[in-house]
Amino acid sequence: MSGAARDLARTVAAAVAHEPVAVTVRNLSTLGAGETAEIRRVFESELRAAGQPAAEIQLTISENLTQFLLVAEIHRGAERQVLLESWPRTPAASPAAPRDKPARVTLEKKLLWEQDLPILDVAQAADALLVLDGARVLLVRGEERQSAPIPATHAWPRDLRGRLSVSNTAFTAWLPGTICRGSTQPQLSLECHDSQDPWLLAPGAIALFAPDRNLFQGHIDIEPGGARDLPPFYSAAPAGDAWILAAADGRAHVYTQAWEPAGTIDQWGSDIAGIQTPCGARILATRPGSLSEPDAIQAYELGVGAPNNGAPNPAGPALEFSGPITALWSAGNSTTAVSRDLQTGRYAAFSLAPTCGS
Amino acid sequence: MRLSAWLPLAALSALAVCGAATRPHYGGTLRVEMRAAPAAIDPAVVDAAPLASLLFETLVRLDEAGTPQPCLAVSWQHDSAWKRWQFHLRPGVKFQDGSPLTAAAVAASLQAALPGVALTATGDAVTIRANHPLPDLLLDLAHNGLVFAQSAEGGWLGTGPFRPTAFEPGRRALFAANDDYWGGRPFLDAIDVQLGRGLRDQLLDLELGKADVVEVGPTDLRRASDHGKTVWSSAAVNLIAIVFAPDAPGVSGRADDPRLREALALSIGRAAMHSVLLQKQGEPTAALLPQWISGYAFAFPMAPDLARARALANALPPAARALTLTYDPSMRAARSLAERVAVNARDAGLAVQVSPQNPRADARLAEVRLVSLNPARALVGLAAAFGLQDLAAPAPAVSDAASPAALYESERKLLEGFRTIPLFQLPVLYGVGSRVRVYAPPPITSLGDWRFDNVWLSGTAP
Repeated sequence: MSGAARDLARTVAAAVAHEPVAVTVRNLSTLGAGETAEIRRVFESELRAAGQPAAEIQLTISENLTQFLLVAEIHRGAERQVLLESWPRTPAASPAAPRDKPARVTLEKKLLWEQDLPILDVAQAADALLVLDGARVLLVRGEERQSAPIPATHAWPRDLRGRLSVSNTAFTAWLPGTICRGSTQPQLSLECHDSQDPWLLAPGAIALFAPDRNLFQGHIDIEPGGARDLPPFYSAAPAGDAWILAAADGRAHVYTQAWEPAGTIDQWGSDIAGIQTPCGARILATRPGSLSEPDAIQAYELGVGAPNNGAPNPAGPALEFSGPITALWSAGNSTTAVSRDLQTGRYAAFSLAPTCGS
Repeated sequence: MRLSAWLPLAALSALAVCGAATRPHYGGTLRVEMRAAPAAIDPAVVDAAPLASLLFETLVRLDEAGTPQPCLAVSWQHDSAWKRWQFHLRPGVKFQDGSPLTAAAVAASLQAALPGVALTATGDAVTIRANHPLPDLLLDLAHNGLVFAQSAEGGWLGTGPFRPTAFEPGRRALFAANDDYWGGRPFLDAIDVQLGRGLRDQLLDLELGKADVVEVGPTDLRRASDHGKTVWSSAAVNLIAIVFAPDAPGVSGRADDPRLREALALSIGRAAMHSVLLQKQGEPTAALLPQWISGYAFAFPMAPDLARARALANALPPAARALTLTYDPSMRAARSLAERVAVNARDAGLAVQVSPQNPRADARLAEVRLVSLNPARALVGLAAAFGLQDLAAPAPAVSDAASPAALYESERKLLEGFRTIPLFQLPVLYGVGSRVRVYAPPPITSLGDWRFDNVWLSGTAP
């Protein structure tokens, strides 16, 4: 940068010998104020050193896809001369791999983990935290980090989803068309294979996930109650004896214990989950909208069979996030949400803790 | 530097309508219309470029900031002289017939796009060697380095997210999702492209819900936004210019006098045209290459100088102060731009007669698309398109290493006779229907090519 400014100043000095000079500088590039000031300092210093004060010079800092440019436009009355110097913007090396009444229920979020790769789920395993993404399972224990890769035997679908379930030191990770089983002791271990095994949907409920899609196929098996075939859905939440499925048609469908349709809800996003709170079971739901907008999670009560025909009542204020919610999973007493920060592009996993007010 | 954009013209509340979900849906057919009517989906045919971008891929692609990112190559290196590059291929990639992508196939594909270099294939690596530095090779590959093979039936095979299912030359092209795409199956099941549709018909089809994605002109932006449509925009890639054709048969020859051409150039008020006629889309310019490609376009002055224009016009014999200007009616905003040029010229004492599709006109309004992200190749391409190739820069092999200063000099020389008068750099604009969503932008590249693998349709059954 300084070299280009020095070289251009020397060329300009040679071009405008013995004339009075006035230099103006403008920056059309992405360089900052500090770099602009440095270019101006070097340029003017070099002009003075050349002892050749000159004409009117418009110095412009510009850029194209690969280079920064310094453009000197020398004006002498109607005459005009343009001189250029340039230097590379960035080395052309391949980039690194993608990096890694009063409210009744108030939700608080606690940051568990943050990384560049999309987090699919996190789970607490004894004294360690497990983080699932499309490339690995990561174990975080204090300052200790262990990582086990997930072999890529087939292309992941877009909008990749995954689920973790922990039992003592053993854990299971489900990804589309793949199941992995592992242990956190004595060291992190993981074994994966292609599988169409159903995913854990909620305690006591399993469902088949489409191996090349981002949703459950609709086949659900609940204890007690047995198996059912329903329309494809993104997520599901128990609501007392009923179930709510966030279906692929963009609506949440409410089913009675006997799996009779009991209404639909239009105001929710694709991700819902059941949560146990000190004041009873509630449903958490994201907002409908775009993945380019900030999202929020709100707790709801559902009055199935009530005059509102299943319409949800907000059970507390919405918990806002700085970006879209990309995952929401519940495992009974613990609920985790993953959000992508719209400013940084990083993914953050939170645990959600409900408290009850009056 | 952000190269393409979604214009915030749409009522964004459209994204939050009842029933809209956050997660993308799989399924559905995207209905697209375009003006071009290519006779084949050939990687080498410019008109077919948007269609080709559904089928074929490159070793690298540019992100929204213009930075090369891995595509069919997962890594690359070059020597300190930029003369030897090596690319390592992504494992597990298959052509649309199921055959594996090989380094040999990549080398064979790139030979036509990279004349004068040696390509060798070893294992999973492709090595490119040249006698001259190739500092902008990644830019060349990102747009022009399509990788393809030929099927047993003689058709073209790519590795892209869609595969062709039917093609009626000049009329219609159908594509289906490539279930085995290495990047994951696209959300869409199919894409139905109507070819050769006029801009007016396209806009009407968008408004009537008969099309999901159509090309729109800058003058139609307000109408599109009034109907609640989103607009996708590329970077400024189409140059609109006045081109003189003194050698054409039957042409008067008046434009042979450089004073007439310069007087016309100095009379044109680009800023007002840009603001009013083009709805501030793109940028006014007096350069051939857009600023984002060259970095120096601003150094070509474009402010009108009526005093000098009048002086030049007055120096001409009265009979020589007139010329004819023609335009293609299918070109965006062509008529209004040509008529405004005539008004400006009158202020300078020139009489410009405007008529559509006049093969004997002294000058024509032309729109030419950028053919490369490499500034040197892009300049050679524009010079050829405007009939300036005899004056154009040296052979591409030498141009590849041209410094911005050398390119500026080449461009200045190309323009100094005013045989071509650049007016505006315009983006490619698409009006988009309300059921179209994008999972991960951009839906179109900086050059306007389609990236529809992340597009999905709301209200479709998965």
